[in-house]
Amino acid sequence: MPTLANDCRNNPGRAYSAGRLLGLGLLLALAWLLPQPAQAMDCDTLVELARGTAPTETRLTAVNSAYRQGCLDHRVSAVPAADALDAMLHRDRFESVAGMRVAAADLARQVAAKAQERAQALEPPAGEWFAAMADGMRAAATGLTDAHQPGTGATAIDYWELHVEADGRWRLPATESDALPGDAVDTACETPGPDCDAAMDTLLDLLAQARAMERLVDVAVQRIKLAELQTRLTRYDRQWTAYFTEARSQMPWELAFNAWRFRANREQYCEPDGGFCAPPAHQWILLHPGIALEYLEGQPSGARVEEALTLEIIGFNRWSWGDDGGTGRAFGASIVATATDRAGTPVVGMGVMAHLNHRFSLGVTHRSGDTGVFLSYDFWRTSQRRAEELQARFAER
Amino acid sequence: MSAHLIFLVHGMGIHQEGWSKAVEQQLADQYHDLEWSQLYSWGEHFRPVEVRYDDAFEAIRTRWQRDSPAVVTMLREAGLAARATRKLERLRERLGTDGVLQTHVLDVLMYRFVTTVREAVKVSVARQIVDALAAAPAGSCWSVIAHSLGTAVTHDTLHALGAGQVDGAAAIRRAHLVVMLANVSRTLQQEAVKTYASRCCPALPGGDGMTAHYLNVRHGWDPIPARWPFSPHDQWPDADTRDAGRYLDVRLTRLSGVNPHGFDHHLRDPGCFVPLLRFLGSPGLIPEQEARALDKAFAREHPQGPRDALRRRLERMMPAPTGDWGQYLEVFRAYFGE
Repeated sequence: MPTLANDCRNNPGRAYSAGRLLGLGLLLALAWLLPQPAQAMDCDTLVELARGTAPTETRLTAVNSAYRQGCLDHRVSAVPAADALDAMLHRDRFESVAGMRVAAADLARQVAAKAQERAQALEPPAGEWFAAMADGMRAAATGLTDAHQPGTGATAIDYWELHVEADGRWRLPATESDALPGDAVDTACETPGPDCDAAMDTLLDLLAQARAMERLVDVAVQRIKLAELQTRLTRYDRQWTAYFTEARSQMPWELAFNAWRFRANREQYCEPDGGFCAPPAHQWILLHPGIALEYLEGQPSGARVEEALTLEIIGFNRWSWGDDGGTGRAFGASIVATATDRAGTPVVGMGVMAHLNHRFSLGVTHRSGDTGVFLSYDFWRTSQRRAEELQARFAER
Repeated sequence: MSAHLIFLVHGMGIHQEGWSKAVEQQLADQYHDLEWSQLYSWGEHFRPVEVRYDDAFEAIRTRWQRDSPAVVTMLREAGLAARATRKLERLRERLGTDGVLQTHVLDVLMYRFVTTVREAVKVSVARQIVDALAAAPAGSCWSVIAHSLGTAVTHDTLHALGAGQVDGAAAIRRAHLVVMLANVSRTLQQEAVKTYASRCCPALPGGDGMTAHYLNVRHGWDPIPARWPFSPHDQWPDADTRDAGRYLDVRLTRLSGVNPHGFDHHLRDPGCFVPLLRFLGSPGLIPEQEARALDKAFAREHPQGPRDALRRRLERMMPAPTGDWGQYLEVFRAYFGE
């Protein structure tokens, strides 16, 4: 008799359809039962709300929301919205950053001209706000083409950014006013009507121009600095990862010692003014354990090669950084003790070992006239179990 | 369309990829329950971004677990006293297990006392922030919500990001909002960077500070941030920035679960998420009437009477505000049940 399992194997299409229908049905039921998040207003709706008949506080909240989400970007035709501005001022389109900034300055002057028109057409206080912004835009245009690194004053992002403070005051430094939006809106919106609508429209235009300048300064100034920072951080991150995962492992005391040395010589590794740090290209080795294959000349044939535990008493390992931020070629050396369980020879021998590329080590030990050579590979990366087996052998003695 | 990136920075312990999904969902649910949630799109405009930094601690711990058997054996063979080797053996066993002391306390100790680990973590977190911001549309802004050890990491990282800041301008635009939940930036303060003198502070335009707004949230029954608690003087931030309401200190007292230190426990309380969402959006996003209704609903849902026994237990764990590190580690042991 066919079971469901058999049926699924023999008729996968039919089983899939039944299962699928059941799944879809469950999903629909779930969707109907569960409360859905309210759909976010699109830009048109936000602007309509701002210009509509809702209470003034609600309209102002809608204005702020429209501003923050880029809904006003299209109101300033000189400065394209979002990706289009990135494309227009893309570094690849210009011979240099300076050339790009000349183009950005030209856009700023175009917006300044529009702001000046509004300043002349409006009564105070709105007219004064636009006039201050026009001055700021012209100053930004000058600042963008300044040989010194721009980013302060009118070429700083926060000069063009609106913040609504906790008490409801609006702060937009470019307007040089701490009375936004109150003076323009309070009187006009005492009763709903054309005056209030006009006041809201003025606010929308003001914020649109500020937003345009904010994006312009972001692309022409802030993002250039951000890209430089990103390049440095990517390199440092790669180097720190290599320091902890490619270089020789560090036991807690080694970590502490090397961190102390790093702190003592911080200025060699760190950017000024408390900036980020790159790791050192070296490490001290202290009481570091390992496993090696040791060849002892004086042992009987067939028993000359045995595994041994190693303890690097003190040593030093250094490397160069690769172009990719990883560790390049590495060399190191240590004074070492080895322990091996063999008949007729002391357990512990002393010697030296040399390291290559963090992984391979070659050393010489001496115990009671018997000279040994050992080779160590960073077995720890592949077998913890082997280490515990070795340890157990010693524990049995 | 420009975005508002919200970086979520975890605290101590193991945090796999995807750890922030629960926090993101919690914030999204709280946001969508608001009357005016349609004003912003959660997910499109507000974009949570997960930050992870515990891989640095994990890599080190894993290596210790692997490397330590041999050293104990070697030292015993070299003549180290039996009692000392027994202690080392116990240490090795403790390092190798996944108990809370190993995954939580060790993270805190490594971050605080091992400079190389701290610098690596700062670089990693900064890189994640910068990469996300560089990939976002022009005009995008960013905020941070940090928890526990993540507050110290965020503090140190923001300070470094502001290196060379002149008249408020740095290599990265300042954050819109920094939210510190269970703030231990003072608890884990470094000698080189004093918490109340660092650039991790709110500022007005043109001022030196790496965030426009700062929301500090501490639960009164959470013992972890109670040692050397974040409690700035009246001139932090400066008077004008304070007057503008750019710094808000919130003290939560209601218990809605057994872990008042938890990320979710802080976010669950309207005392936390109402100012948080207002700072992210605007003050008008949550009218006063709605805020009061949310608060009342929370109080009804979480009566405090039945939590009295828990409160007394937490009270006994509270460290002295200026206690030493040994006493502080005892708090971890008591709180996390070891």
